[in-house]
Parts: sequence; C-alpha cells; structure tokens
Amino acid sequence: MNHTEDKKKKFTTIVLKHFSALKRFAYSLCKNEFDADDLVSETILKAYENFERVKDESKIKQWLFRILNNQFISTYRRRKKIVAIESRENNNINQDLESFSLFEAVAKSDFVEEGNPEKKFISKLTQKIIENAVSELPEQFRAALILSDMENFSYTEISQILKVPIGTVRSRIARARNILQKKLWLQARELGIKISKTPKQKVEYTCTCGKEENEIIHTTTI
Amino acid sequence: MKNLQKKVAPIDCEEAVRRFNYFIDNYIKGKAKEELVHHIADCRHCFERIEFEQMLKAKISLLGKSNSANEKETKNIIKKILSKTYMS
Repeated sequence: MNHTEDKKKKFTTIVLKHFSALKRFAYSLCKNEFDADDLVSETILKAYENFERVKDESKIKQWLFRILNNQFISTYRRRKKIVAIESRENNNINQDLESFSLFEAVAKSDFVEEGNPEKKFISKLTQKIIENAVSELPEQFRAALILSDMENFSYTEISQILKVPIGTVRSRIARARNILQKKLWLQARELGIKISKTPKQKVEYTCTCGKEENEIIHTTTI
Repeated sequence: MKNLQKKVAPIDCEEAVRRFNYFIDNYIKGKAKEELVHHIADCRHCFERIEFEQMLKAKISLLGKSNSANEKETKNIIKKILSKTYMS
C-alpha cells in the first residue's frame, strides 16, 4: 500500500466516526440538505489536505468542526448582509425572552398534576418537537447549543471551533436555552400537550434565601 | 473538637439560577460550585428546577445520538469526495 492509499484509509476511518455529527452540524448551519452536503464535502477535502499536520488525534473531532465552521463562514460570507439583518431582528426578539423559564411556566400553568408535572411535561416532548424548536433558533445560538448539548464539546472547545471568546459561548448557550424553552412551551401549547389537572399539593419548606415556597417570586415573561 | 468543616457562603435563588447553566455544563468549579450545591441541597424549588434543566439537556442530547447513516454508504460518500483531490 502506497503512502496516499495509506493516508486515505486512515483518514476515512477517522472521518467515518464523525461523519454523522458533521452532517448534523452542517445541516443546522445551512438549514438545507443540498448546502449541508456541499459544506461537508468541502470540509472533508480541506481536512484531508491538512491531515498530515494533525498532531493530537484526540482533538480530531474538534478540528473537523472548526474547519466546517470556517468553511461555512467563508463560503457563505456573501450572505452576511442577510444574516446581519436576521440577527438584528433576533436580538429584538431575544430581549423579550431573556428571563423565560420553561420550568416556571409549567409550574404556573394548568399542566399541574400531583407528583412532578415538570418531569411529565418533558416526557411528553417528542424528539420532533425538540428538533423543530432547535432548528428555529437564530444561527449563532443554534450552533453553540448543538456543539454543547448534542456534541458534548466543552465551552473552551466551542470557543475554539466558533472562534469567539468563552464569555460569548456562555452567553450564546444561555440565550439559546431561553429561546428554546420559550419555543418548546409555545409548540407544546399549540399541540395541546396537557397533563390532567389536579390541584398541586402545597408543601412548605424553607430555602436558603429564607423565604417559604409561596413567598418566592421567580420572575418570568410568559 | 475544633470544627474544621469549611463554611459555605449562602447564595439566594436568583444567584443560584444564574449558575445553573454552568453547573449542568460542568463549567462551574470550586467555591462557586460549593455554594450552588449547598443552596440546592436546602432549596427544593431550585433543586427541582436544576433537575428539570438537566433532563431537558439530556433530551436535547438524544438528537445528537441518532446515527442513521449506513457505514458502507458513508465510506462510499467519503471515497467519492476524496476522489476529487488531485492527489488521488
């Protein structure tokens, strides 16, 4: 086996492990199969060209994702104006969602049931509902959330993949979760997800902030 | 006997909620983590809320576990992509 064949075989074995994840991330950025396939192809070609420079194989997944993100930025740069307008619009929407908590929304709604209505609510969320809500997130928040929650990258790794400071990663993930929770809440209500209504038992307890359950005010914007 | 147990400064629910994301993402460490753990051990509301956030994250992570691609098919796709290289 010559050097090129050997390199191709080794490269294919590695890429094979991460192919589905790359495709998922590409699709989440492009939002259509055709562009996502192109983006993955470009990523693989670029990675292959630079494969011999890889020193730490334990970071291959992170490296592939970084190439994919770079390719996405450079290939879709001409769409920047559209993205900028979209992100300005999203910023306005997001300001309203800053403090939304799905937990609080469920607890205060008629999804109330003895036991744990919040857990029951989660169990009723199908993968399709979650997938739709994730796909509707603004691009930069969606990317950060997918890298964190689906691909299990750390904040530091995400910061290196997306080439943004860790503080930005933290705030993008936090905002992504807020928006996602609001979307899940709206979708669940639209789909009529409901748990039988029974008055919730009041249990008194004291928390460290020195207030009883009924006195704690958790602000939320539903 | 002298009590050597470290005292943990109490934090309120608002502060605890601010640290939830860092906790479920395993980003919080040291004193900040201790304070949060101490708070959720005493505050049922925050305990239930953080549990809810963890469950939701676990549910989202399942989207990343779906691997519908067939290995042989994927190998062929990669082979086809690599055939475009001038080195082939």
